[in-house]
Amino acid sequence: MRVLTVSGKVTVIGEDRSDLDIEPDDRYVDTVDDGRVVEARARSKNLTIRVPAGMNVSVGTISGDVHIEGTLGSIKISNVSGKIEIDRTTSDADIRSISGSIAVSQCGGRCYANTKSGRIELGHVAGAVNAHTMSGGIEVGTAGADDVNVKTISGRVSVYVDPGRAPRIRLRSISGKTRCECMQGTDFEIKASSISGSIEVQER
Amino acid sequence: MTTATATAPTRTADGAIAFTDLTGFSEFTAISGDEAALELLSAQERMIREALGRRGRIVKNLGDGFLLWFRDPCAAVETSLALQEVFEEQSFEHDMPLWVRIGIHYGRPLRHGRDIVGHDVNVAARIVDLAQTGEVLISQACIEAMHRALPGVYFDEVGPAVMKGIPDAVTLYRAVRV
Repeated sequence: MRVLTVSGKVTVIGEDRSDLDIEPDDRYVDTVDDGRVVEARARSKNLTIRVPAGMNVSVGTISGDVHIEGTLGSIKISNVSGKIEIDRTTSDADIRSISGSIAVSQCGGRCYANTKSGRIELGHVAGAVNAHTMSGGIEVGTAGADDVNVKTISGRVSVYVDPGRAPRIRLRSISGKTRCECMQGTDFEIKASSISGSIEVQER
Repeated sequence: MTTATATAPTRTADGAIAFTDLTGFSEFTAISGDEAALELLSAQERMIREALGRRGRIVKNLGDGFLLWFRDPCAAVETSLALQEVFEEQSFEHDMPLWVRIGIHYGRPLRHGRDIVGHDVNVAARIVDLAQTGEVLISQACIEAMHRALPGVYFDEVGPAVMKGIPDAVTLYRAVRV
């Protein structure tokens, strides 16, 4: 499922159903890429799209909030401004914003999150994490199965590691404090850098 | 009455247009001082010139970034990936935050003296805005223009982007070394 809008809130709900339901009715819907992708377009309306749970979804918008509810497959979202909130994904997530905040409750795969001036909160990520922001803080929960790479210019970084996992730690802040309160080892790597923000790593 | 004359762009410069953007430069300058900031900029420029060789050229210096042009889109991607590896190594080893984002698009900008202008330059500028530090983000047009495979390089689709001032959505890919 691909959704393209200019403004207006986009809500995608993954639920126990086999068809798609897209509101409001006066939007443009087509199948593209040889019928493999359903594309919904709206210029400046709020869109609510109900899809089968586990479906892969991509959303491109300029200034709308994007809200993903329920459980979906891979998720790819980009916007210029507006909050991006994701409930659960069973696969990878790639989320990019210029000035919006990003919040993901649970990600079952790799998670890429990038914003210029918003906060990033990744509740629990099963796979690798790449999270970068310039002026916002970053909070990441990791299962400790794959590497975590976090960068922020001026925000605070907090990484929470699942119990029993022992990361190799590489923390670097030019003027902020760094602190690690979890067991260290070689299970995976946490690499966190900041210019002026503090960095802390601890067991969940 | 005299008519104002201007240098009219007359030729296209078909090729890959790449923007680089050094993130956090203002904060680094505020904390580390002007001397360190100048050193950082000089290091970035030296590394870019070394990586470019004769494969591309610096169109202009944008302060904390550059506009680059390559005739060959494959060379643009390979050079950008090599640059990111050098930046990453230098960042951690030498406490030098070379946190650079790179966005690449392929198109037909117009030459305007040494500069290039046009819609495709604007698209490339929007792409770098969505790139992560350390990342090479490229448009589908750039992938389609590649005339050969790049060994050891994988393109991971990151989805469609709707950009301000650009009528059509642009599908973006992350270039990754495997």
